Amino acid sequence: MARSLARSIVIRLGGAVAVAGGLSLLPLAAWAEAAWPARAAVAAPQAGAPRPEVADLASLLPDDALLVAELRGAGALARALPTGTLRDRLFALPSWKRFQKTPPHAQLLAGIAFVELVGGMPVAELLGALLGDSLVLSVAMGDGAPQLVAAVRTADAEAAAHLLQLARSLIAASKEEPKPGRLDTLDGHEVAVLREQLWVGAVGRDLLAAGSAAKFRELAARAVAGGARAVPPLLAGARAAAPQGALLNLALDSKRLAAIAPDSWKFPLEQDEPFGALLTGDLMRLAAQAEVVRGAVVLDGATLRVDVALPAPSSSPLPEAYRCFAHANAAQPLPIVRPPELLLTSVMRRDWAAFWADHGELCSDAAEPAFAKMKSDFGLLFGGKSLADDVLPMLGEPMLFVLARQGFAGVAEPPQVRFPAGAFVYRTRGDAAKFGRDLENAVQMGIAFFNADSAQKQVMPFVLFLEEHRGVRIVGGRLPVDDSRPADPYRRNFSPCAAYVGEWAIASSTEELLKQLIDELSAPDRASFTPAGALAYLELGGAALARLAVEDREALITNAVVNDGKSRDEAELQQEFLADLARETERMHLATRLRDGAFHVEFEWALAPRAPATPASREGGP
Amino acid sequence: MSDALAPYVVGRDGPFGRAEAAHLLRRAGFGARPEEQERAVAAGLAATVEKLLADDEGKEAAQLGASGALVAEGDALAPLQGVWLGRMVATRAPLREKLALLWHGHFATSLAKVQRATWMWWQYELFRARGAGRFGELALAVARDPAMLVWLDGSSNEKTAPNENFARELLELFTLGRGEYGERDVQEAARCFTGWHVKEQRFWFNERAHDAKPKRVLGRDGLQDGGEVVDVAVAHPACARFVATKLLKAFVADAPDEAAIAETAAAFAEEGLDVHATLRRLFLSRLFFDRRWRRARIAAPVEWCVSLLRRTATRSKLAAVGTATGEMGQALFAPPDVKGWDGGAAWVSSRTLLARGRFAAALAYGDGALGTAVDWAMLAGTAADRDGATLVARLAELLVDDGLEPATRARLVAFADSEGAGGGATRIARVAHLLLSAPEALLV
Repeated sequence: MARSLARSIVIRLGGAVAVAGGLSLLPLAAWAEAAWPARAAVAAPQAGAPRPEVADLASLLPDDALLVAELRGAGALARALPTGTLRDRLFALPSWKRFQKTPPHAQLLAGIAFVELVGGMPVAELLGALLGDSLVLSVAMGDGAPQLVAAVRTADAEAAAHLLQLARSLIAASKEEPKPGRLDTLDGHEVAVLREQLWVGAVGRDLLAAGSAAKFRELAARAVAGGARAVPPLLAGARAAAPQGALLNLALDSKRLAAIAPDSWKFPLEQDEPFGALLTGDLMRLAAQAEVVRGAVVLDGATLRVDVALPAPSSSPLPEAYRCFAHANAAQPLPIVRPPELLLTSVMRRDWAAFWADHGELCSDAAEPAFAKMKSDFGLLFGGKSLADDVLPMLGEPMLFVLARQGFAGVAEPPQVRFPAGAFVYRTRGDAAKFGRDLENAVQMGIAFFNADSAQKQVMPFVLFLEEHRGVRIVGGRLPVDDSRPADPYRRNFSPCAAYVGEWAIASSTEELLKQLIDELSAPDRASFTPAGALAYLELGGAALARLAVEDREALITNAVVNDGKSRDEAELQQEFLADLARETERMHLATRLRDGAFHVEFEWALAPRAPATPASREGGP
Repeated sequence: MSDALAPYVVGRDGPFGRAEAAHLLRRAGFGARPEEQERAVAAGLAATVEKLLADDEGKEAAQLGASGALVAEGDALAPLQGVWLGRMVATRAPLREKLALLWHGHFATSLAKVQRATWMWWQYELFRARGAGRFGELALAVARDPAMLVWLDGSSNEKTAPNENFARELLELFTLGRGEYGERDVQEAARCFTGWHVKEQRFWFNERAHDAKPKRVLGRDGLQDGGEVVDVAVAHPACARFVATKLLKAFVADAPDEAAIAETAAAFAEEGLDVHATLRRLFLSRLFFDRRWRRARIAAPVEWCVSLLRRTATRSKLAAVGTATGEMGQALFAPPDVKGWDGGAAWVSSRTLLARGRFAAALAYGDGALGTAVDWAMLAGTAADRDGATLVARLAELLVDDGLEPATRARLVAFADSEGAGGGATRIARVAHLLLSAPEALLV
C-alpha cells in the first residue's frame, strides 16, 4: 500500500503538470512501469475467516427482475490488461504509435493518472476491484420506474471497503453544490447515496448497490443472512443455456417488459424499406413475440463470441407470410463462396418470389413506391418480362452476395479510387437454359444503359463480349484498351458480366470475380458450407480489407475530412486504425441460426495469430 | 501614374490600427481573429497587403486542393463544395480563394448543365491559377474551358448554324456590359467562335466546323478566331470599367459610387488589366479606407459561413456546409443562371435569412448535421464568467470585429445579464447566437 501511495504522489505531481501544461506523461509512465508492483496489496486475498456470505452472489438478486446480467472473471481480466497480449498487440499497431503523439493521448494519460490518484491504486487494479470476481445486476420495474440492483464480489472486505471509501472521497471532494451524494446509515450499514438514485454499501467482501433505500435494505438483509439461496429463474435459465466459460450472461423477460412498457419492446413488423424487411423481417417478428431473450459473451483467447438467443416457442411459429425466410430448410447445408481477396461473403435463405408475393404483410405502404420502381426497372432490364411472374420464380434460395478486392491484373490504368468487386449468386429453379438467356439479355440491356450515359459524357463505353471460361459462357462488357476517349474514372472499376454454372446464376460487377466464382462453383471439392442450422451468414475477410484500406487511403481520408468534419490528422489516424484493425482480424462473422429450439444471432471475432510478446516489444503507454 | 487610387498614407490620411486591419482582412480575406489583426497592425499596411497577395496557402489547404480532383470523380455536388469550402477555411492565402469565388460568379457556370464535376473542378482551378493575373488571359482561358463550352453551347456552334450564346454573354456579362455592343457584333463574334468544341474532355478546335471568313466585331475588321474577339473585347475601354466595377463590388462596396468606379477603372487600365496589381493599389488606397465603405457590403453566404468557421476555429462537415450555403442562396458550382449571383441586397430574403439563422444556431449550440462544436468557453476566455458588457465585448470583437450598433450592444448586454441567459457555456452560446442573428452580423 505504501508503494502505491508513493507512486500516487509521483503521479499526482506528473498529473498536475500534465493537466496544467498538456505535457506528455510518457517519461513518467515509463518510470512507473518499471516501479510497478505486480499486484497492488489491496487486491491480494487476506488470511483469516471471512464473514459468512451467500454461496452464489446471483442469489442476492430479486426474483421479479426483468433484466439480469452476470459478469464472471472480468476482474481478473482487467487486472491482467497491463501484462496481457492484447495490450502488446495494441501498442504495436502503427496507428497506436501515431496516436501516442497526439494531444488526446496526453489527455488520456492525464485522465488515467487522475483516476489512479483518486483511486489510490493502478487503474487496472481499480477496474479489477470494481468488476470483482463476479458482478451481478438486475433491473426490475418498481413504482413505474426501472430499479437497479447490483452486487460485486470483490477480493476481500478491505477491497470492498476501499471502493466504498473511494465513493465517499469523491462525494466529499466534489465542488458541486449541492453535493452529488451524501452518506447515510441503513440498518447499521454505512451507505453512500449518489444523487438520490443509487445507494452503495458493503457487506463483507460484497459491494452492494440498489436504486432505492428499500431495495438496498432487502439486498443487504439477504447478504447478511448468507447461506444458500436460489438464483432468480431468469438467470438460472440464462446460465443453463449459456456456453461454457461465458464471461457475460444476461437475460431479459421480454414478455413481461412488453406488457409493462410496450414502447420499450417494440419492433417494426411492417418495414418501410423493402431490403430491410428482406434482411431482418424474421428477426423482428421473433423478437417481438419472444418471451425471453438470452445473451452470452465468451472470450476465448483471442476470440470474442457473442450469442443472443430468442427462444422460438413451438406453439407460435412464424406465420405463413414469413415463408420467404425459409426457416423450414434450416437443416439443409448452406453453401458459401470464398474467392481470393475476400472482403465479405454472405448467404441468406431468402425466397424472392415468396417475399414479393407476401410483401404486403412484411412491408408498410411506404415501401410500395420502391416495389413499383423495382418492377419497372427490372422489367425493362429483362426485356419487358414480369419481375414477379417471370423472373423471381426462377430464383430459388439461398441468395449469396460476395465482395472481393480487385487485383487489376493486366490493367494498364487502375483507377485512383478502387472499388471492391461484387457479385450476386442465386440458385435457380425451373428452365435453366431459358433463364440463362434472360440473364444474358439483361446484362446486354444494362450495358446499353451505361453506354447511353457514357455517350452523353463523351467517355469510353463498355464493349460487349461473349466468351467462355472453363466451358461456361460469360456475357458482359469491358472498357476497350485502344479507345482515345477518356474513361469515366470510376468505371474503370467495372466490367459487368453474368454467367450460369450448373444451377447457379452469377451476376458480377467484374470479370475477374466472375471467373473466380465460376472456378469455385465448378469444383465440388472446393465447396464450403456454413455451420449447421444457419439461416443467414456473413463473414468478413480482414487481410484483403486492410489492403484495400491502404489502396484507397487518400479517398477515405478526404471523405472523412469533407463529409465527417475531421481534421486531416484525425482522418489519417482513423484510416490507419481501421486498416490496422482489419489486419489484426483473422475472421469475423455474423450469423443467424436455428439450434437447440431457439433462434440465435451469433457474432464472432477472432484476432489473427501473433507471436507471444517479449519485454523488448513493450513500448510507451500506461 | 495618375491620381487614380491615390495611396493611403498611414499617419497623414489616418491610422492603420485594429479597425483598419480588420477592414482590410475582412475584404481581402475572410476576416481574422483579434490576434491576427494585431499581427497585421504590427507588420504594417504594406506588409499585410503583400502577405495577402502572396500565394502560400499552407499545407492543409494544399492537401484539400489536391484531393479535389479525386472527389470530383464521384460526380456529386456536395462533397465538391465541401472541398472548396474546406480550402477556404484552411487557407493562408484567402485572397486567392476570394478571387476564384469572384470569377466563379462572374463567368458563372453550373454543374446542373455541365454534369461533370471534374470539369467544374478544372474550371475552379483555372480561376485560382489565372484569376489574379491579366484579365484578358483569364477571359481567353475561360473561352476555351470545357465546362464553359458546354454551359453556353459552344460545342454546338458550327459555321452552318452559329450559336450565339457564348458570344453574347462574353460581350454582355463577361467583358463590356449592356449598351456597349450591337446585335451585329454578337452575330459576328459567334461566327468567330464556331468550331470551338470539346473532344475527349479537352478544348478542340474543329476546323471543319469553323467559319474561316473574316468578320467585323466592335469596329475591328478581319477577325478570324474567337481568341481575337476576346482580345478586342478586353481592349475596349468599357471592359476596364465593367470589370473594375465587379472588383469594387467584391472588395469595397455593394453600391460603389461613380467616382470610385472611375478611379478604379483608370487604375485597372493603367495596370494592363492586371488584377493583382490593381488590387495592390486598391488595398493601399485612400478610396479603400474611406469610412463610407466600412461595413458597406452584405456578406455573401459562402463568405459569411467561411468567416465564422475561421473565427470560431471549429471543425465542420464541409459537405453539409456547402448544402447550407445553397439554402442561403449561394450554392458553389451551381449558380442559378449565367448572370451568377446578384449579390448585395439580393442575399437578403425571408428564406435566406432563415437559413442563416439556422447556421447561426448550429454554430452557437453545436449541431450533429453540420458537425460544428465551438468551444465557446475557450473563445470567450476570461470574459466567460464576467458581466454582460465584458462578454458581449469579447464576442463582438471575435465575431463581428466590434461592429455593433450601440442599441444592439445594449440589448445584448441586457440579455447576457439576465437570468434567461443561463450560465456557463450555455450563456455564452446564447449570447453568440443572438449576436450572429443581429443585422450587423451580415455586414463586412
